[in-house]
Amino acid sequence: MTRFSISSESAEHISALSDGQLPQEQLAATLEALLAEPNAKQAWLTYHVVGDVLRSAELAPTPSDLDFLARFEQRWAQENGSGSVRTHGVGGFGDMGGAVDHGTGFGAQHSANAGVLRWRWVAAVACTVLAGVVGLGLSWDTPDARQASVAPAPENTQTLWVSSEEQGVMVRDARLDELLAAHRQQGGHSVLQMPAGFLRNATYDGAAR
Amino acid sequence: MSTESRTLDPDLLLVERVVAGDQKAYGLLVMKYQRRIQRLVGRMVRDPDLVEDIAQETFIQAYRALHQFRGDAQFYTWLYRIAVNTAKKFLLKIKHDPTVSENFFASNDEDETSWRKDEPIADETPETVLAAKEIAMVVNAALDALPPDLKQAVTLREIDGLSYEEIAEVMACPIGTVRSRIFRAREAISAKVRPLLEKQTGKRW
Repeated sequence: MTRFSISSESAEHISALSDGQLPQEQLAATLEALLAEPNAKQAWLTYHVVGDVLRSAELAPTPSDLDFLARFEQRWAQENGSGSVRTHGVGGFGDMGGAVDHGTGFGAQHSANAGVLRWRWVAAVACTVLAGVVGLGLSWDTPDARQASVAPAPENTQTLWVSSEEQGVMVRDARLDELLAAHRQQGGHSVLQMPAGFLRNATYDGAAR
Repeated sequence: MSTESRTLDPDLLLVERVVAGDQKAYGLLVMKYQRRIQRLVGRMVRDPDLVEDIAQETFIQAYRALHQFRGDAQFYTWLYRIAVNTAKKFLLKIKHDPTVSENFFASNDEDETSWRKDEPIADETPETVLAAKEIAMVVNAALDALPPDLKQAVTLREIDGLSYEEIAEVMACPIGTVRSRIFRAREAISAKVRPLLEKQTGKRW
């Protein structure tokens, strides 16, 4: 019996398989054992860790490395809309099973961080959208619009308000006005020497100037 | 034990299993290549969450494209290109995000070979660095402690990349003996490494 609680013969077969040197007649049984038994997978992983580390110390595993497959399974399950990691009827990607306990130690820690990562991406997307809104002068739907000259909006688009002022017809946006007011408070034009046309329009504030 | 041996690429065998519908076989490929892919991505990107995200996305992309892998090249070569392309796409997307600092990027070079090779890996903490170094030290110490024939066999295989046939020729012994020596060497080294891996996972193996 080996350190991995599998027979020496099985372990030797796994070792030979990892080198592509397993005889054909032993292949099927070895693969079946490897795919079904957590201890066999441990041997597979450990033999590869040994080989990788002999070639490069950089490849020595960290705790995060050892739990990667479990996180990968979770992500796969989420992306494929499955409530369970077991898809395709063959038991998922088959992490170490009971051999790596995801309820304790580093396993639990990384599972807890999965939600944080999702929210970081949501925040990044929200910031990008906000930057686009400020830059292009798209409007947000607010209850205190000054004038309404609104063309029938197709579904799922923003509504714009048009005001007629001395300088001509200007599409106004209450939310943009808020942001511009905050910008002026911070010191006005800070980047461009000569505002481009659309920026001139964006800073248009009618009677306030 | 049969002395007949035939070189069967284990990666190709596993790919064939996956394409045939056995998803668990893909898990073995992930286990085998995950560290290499993360180290590769870690040389391109600083943020540890993004490194993880790109590595995961790499394996997802590879899984979805597995039916296209014909075995013309080594599986890892194919996977490597997917990782680099995935990372580049992520970086391109983020580069156009005005809220992201320039410090986010490891390098402005298009060529991945010039990326940050000598800097710490993105997700390293002092504890993980120490844990990984300890494993590396134990592996090398265990190698040095092996009987000469086992040490030579596993060194020729793992470090020099010789085939069993070539090793048999170098060591003037049958292929079956080569296979046995390599296995015993791996077992001996694994015996020293296993407690450290248990410590890292917090679980007894």
